[in-house]
Amino acid sequence: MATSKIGLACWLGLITLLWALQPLLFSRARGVLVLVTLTGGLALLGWLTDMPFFVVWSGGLGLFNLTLTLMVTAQPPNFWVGLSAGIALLALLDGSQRFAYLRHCQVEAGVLPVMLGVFMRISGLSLAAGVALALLVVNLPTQGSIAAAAGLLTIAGAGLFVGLVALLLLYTSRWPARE
Amino acid sequence: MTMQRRHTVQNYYYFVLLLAGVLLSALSRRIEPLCAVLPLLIALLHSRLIRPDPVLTVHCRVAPLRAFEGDRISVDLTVRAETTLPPTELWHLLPPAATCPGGGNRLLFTLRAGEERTFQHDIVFPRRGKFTLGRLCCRAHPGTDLQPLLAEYRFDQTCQVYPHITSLPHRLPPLHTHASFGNYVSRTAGEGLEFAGIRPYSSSDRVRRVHWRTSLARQQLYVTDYYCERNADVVILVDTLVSLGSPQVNTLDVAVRAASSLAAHYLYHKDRVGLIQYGGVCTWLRPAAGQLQLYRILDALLDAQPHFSYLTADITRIPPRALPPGALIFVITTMLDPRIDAALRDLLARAFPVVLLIISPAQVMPTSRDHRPAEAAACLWRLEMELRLHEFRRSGALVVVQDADDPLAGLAMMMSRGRLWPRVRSDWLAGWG
Repeated sequence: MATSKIGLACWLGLITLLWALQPLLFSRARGVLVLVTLTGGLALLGWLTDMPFFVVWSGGLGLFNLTLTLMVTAQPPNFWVGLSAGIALLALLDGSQRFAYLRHCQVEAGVLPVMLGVFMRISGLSLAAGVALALLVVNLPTQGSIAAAAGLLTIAGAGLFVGLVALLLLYTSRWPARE
Repeated sequence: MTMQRRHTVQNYYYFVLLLAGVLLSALSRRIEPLCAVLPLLIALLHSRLIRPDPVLTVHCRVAPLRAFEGDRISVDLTVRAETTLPPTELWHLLPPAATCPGGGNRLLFTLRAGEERTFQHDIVFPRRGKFTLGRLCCRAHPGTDLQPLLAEYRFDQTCQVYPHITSLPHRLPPLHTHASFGNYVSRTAGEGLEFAGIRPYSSSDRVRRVHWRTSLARQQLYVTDYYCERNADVVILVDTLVSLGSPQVNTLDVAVRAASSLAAHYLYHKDRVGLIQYGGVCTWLRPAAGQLQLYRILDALLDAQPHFSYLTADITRIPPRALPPGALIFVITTMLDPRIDAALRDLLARAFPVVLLIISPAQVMPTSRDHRPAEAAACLWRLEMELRLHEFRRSGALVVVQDADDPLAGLAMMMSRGRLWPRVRSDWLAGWG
């Protein structure tokens, strides 16, 4: 099943390109270009050498580059840009992890469709969550009392959100495999 | 078997990126970084909230459990899924020496509930030894693969890989034989299968030997004579005092292959073959004939390895049953340890016919890009060996220096030329066997 491995490698290469080149849609400044090159290089190095650490660095750098580009070019808020970047980031991280063991295995028929199905499901859920978030954010400024302390609330909300997620992850990590 | 859930390092990576996205979003007051890490959050929550419990049964069958170097050993892995299996990795852990030329020992598959499949792969061992096969690691990758399920199955089966046997085109006739069933035909008449002639009946002859056609034609009883059958004792002495080379390619392995080939060759021709491992620990097998003896010898050679010791077992302590008088002795050695010289002198002094098969260490040394130093070292070794061997040649030992990959190439070549045992062969043809 060399075809499946080649197919996954091509898919991963395409996603790496998509993830790294996204900030170029908004700016082609020299700094952005350098960061784009670094992002792509780190991702490529990570999944080619089975070192997920580099892929994560690429993810962080790409996220920073995208945010910086959007800030510098003063683009209007756009959920779809964020969501598409997020799905590309998930595909990169998930794909590189799966590629790490898939390249050493003899892959039987039916494995890749299952993996793709999981990815599609997560992407669909992310789209739904993104739309819900967008509706929430669009409606927030209409509430006058909340809008006054928007900055503080944003930071406090973000901290609370991250804390809750961390607690949930810690709690659920202690569930046994089978009760 | 219960599968245990493990958390991959990917969980931390996802969480760190999630944290980075939230921080960037809060600091830049933009929604895009938050949206960018939203799929990671969904993936984390999905792995926590949706937890499939795959149930599967695995069986492993290894055949054959006895093979020779380079033979293919087939492994069948049968997996039966009680529930629907997510992408599941089944890894048959192999010993470092093994290679997997046919099929894969690391599989990735999915199965529906109730489905059963058998996966096959072949294993080849390039060198002798006892290897344990059948250790399986299973890893199911449910959902986003952030919490894989692990299990280990042990179907330990010990596989014995015997040294490779090279067939010899010719046979070296031994100096002494004795009356027994065997492939050597004596010139004297007696019990056997080979037709010798017809002679008139005498009072001690068996009736079953009467040659009726001649008797009727001549009107007098005639009996058929047969040649006597004889066989020989062959003892293979393997020098385990020292082994040179890497664990993959070393002189002891070459010596062991030569010993097993010689044993198989002489046992096939119905001779009695014994084995002595001469080293820090001296072990022996008494000469015997038959297929069972071949496996005894191969089993003994499986464990052959140099046991370092300053003491050397004296060759005179080996019991006469293990070293019967007149036995043809093949000494397979590198001559690197001078203690083998004493044993050789002792054997020659006791009038044993000795064939000295010397394994050249030049063949097993790692090769460098520049061949000249290796060639010079090989030449020096050969010159030094010629000096040492002169004494043994004078004492009547036949010396074969083996410097090819095939452990018996030199011996086979000399046998085919008829230069080995010239006096013995002429005696044999003259009927002195």
